[in-house]
Amino acid sequence: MALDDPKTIRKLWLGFYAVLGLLLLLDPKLLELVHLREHDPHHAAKFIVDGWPVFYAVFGFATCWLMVMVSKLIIGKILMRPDTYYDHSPLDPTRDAKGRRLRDGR
Amino acid sequence: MVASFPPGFILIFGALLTALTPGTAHKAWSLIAPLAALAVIWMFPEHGRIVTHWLDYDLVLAQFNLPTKAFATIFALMAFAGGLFAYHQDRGKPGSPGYEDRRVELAGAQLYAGSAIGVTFAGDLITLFLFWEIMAVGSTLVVWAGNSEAARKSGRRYVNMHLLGGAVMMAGIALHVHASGSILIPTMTLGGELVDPVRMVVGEGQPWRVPSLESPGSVLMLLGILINAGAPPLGSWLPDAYPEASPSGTVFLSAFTTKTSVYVLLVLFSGCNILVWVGCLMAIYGIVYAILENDMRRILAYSIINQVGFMVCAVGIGTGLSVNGATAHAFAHIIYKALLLMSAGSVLFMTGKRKCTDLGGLYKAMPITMWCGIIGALAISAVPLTSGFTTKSMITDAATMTELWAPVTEQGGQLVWDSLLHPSVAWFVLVAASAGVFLHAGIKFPWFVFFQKPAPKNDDRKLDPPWTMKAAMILFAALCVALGVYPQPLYDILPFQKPDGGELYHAFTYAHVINQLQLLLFAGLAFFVLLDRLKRTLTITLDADWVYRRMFPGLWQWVFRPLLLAAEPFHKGLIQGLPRAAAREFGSGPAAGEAEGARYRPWGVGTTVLLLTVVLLVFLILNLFVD
Repeated sequence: MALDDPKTIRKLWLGFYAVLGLLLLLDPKLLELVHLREHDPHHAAKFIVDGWPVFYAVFGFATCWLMVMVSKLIIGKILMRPDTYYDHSPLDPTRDAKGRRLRDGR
Repeated sequence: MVASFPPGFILIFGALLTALTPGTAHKAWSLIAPLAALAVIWMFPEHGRIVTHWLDYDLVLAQFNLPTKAFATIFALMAFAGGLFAYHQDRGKPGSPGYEDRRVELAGAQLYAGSAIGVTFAGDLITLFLFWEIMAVGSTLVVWAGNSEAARKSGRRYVNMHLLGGAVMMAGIALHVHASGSILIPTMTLGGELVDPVRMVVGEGQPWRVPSLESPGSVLMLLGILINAGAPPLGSWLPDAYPEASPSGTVFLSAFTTKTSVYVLLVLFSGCNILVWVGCLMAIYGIVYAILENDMRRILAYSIINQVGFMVCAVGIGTGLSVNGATAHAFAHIIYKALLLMSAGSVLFMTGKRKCTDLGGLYKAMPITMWCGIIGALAISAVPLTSGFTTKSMITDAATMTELWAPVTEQGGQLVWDSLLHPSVAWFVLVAASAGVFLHAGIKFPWFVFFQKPAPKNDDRKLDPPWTMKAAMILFAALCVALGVYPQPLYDILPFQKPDGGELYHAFTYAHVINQLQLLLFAGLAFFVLLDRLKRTLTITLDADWVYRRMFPGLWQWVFRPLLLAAEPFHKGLIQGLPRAAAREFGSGPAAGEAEGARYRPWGVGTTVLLLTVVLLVFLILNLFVD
């Protein structure tokens, strides 16, 4: 059973989906809704939406998706540079503005 | 007898001994001194106080403030584990040419840890500031011990930033002391319930006014501390300098500066509401940059900012629960962040690679490093049964109780929130940031470093590091799990205990465990769904350090220098042409200029400065004797 075997990877994915499904079913608010669990006053909803069933799953997925998209598509587009960006100084007399060595051999 | 010795000085002596002991024996001090310091911290009497008179002030060199014990304990533990990790990192064999030991780094790290412990024991602002500055010196030595051109340059930026922060903080302290007449640090008290807001008093029951930020002194102090805490945009020194240190140097660096700032914020600024939003900003900013970075230690450096954001937010909330939460989280964070950086450091030490684009496929070659890294990654993500879960949850729980911390004002007979954003936003941001931690540190770090691509066929490389490095990693991995399963010893040293001695905090409820797992595993799903978008590229992401690395030199090159050059003829005319013309018109004729050289010999700057120094010294000495 090698980790790089496609069959193993497929099994790992299936296991992952099974765990995710199980977690959705075990959601405390969902169990309260179908009266399998007593209402727990320590975990009463504080901000309305956190009392909805499977709120945490949806919130976790949605915010992560949003954070990746915003960082990659907006912030990354503006601020990403090649990682040699700082390797030369604008005050370095032996290199030009783009970091290429000047030809006169100084 | 023990009470007459401030615990911080033990490690500072250790630093001196490390620097002076010949041969390879110096390394032993980096293990002995932290353990000795730990013993003295725990033997320090509960109400003991070491006071010394200096200038016109009574300095409280050591006393227990409420969060002191937890912070000092973890600092000493960290110095020990870091020393263990650094033990076998000399290059070459002793005595052979090209041999290079880590003496500077070890001595610097002990100076750094000792002064951090000194800050936590300080009972007044001047002592606190003195240790604060020694920390800057020690940490700069650790950065420079990275021993490369990049380390030298970023170390110089690092020390400048910290000296600037220190100057700002000193100005704040001076203004504060001038206005209030007292240098003492306030005492925190808690009335009634554990979740109530913390009250701070100074001296004879005077309320401590600093967190309301009414005076310029308190604003300057806050700015100075936030520079050290790594709050954007002032904190870009952190991802700039930390990844340039040596593999073991980064481990030391990750622990002390930011967490000491959290400690100082706790004892001076608990309940300063603006910190809630500063913390939220830090938490999100850390994630966004960590998602974009490629260098594994830069990723982890940004995740320090993200984690410190939680603690800063807790300081802003300022209730008993949140102060406990910030302390516990700092304790747990130092362990798992050091563990993650040890894991990254081992990879760098053994393979020489630091970029995610170059790494991957190491799961067979470095099993122990991988497992320790995964445990650290799970702990930072606050997976149940790890230390993150039993500590960070206190902060998110404290954030839900908006009625206890958020400021309100009366408007037309109704109470309304007195903040720009609705206070519940803080909780949503913290939960989103908890999910984001799993994304950028919990999965991204182990995935890109150890997996990502398949291991070579029949991979029989043995790349796990020397045994001392493994021992340090295993020690901290065990602590991560131990504090997750049985956090009681940590809870026992938190600032506030239940009045009836009952259980301080219970993390393992059904709803909490399930909700946390849902949050994290669905964040994990997002990671794998978006894996193509998260592919590493050979890039860095510009941060605020761009201002002083590019903008200022650029301004000089393209704006100020050309302006100065353009102004040169006018300047010349003013200082040479004009006097000459005047001399010609009104004075002694053309001979004046020619005779100048004969009568005056130039002194040169060096002689002038020397003369000035001597004169000043004479004045100083006279001043000592003439009252």
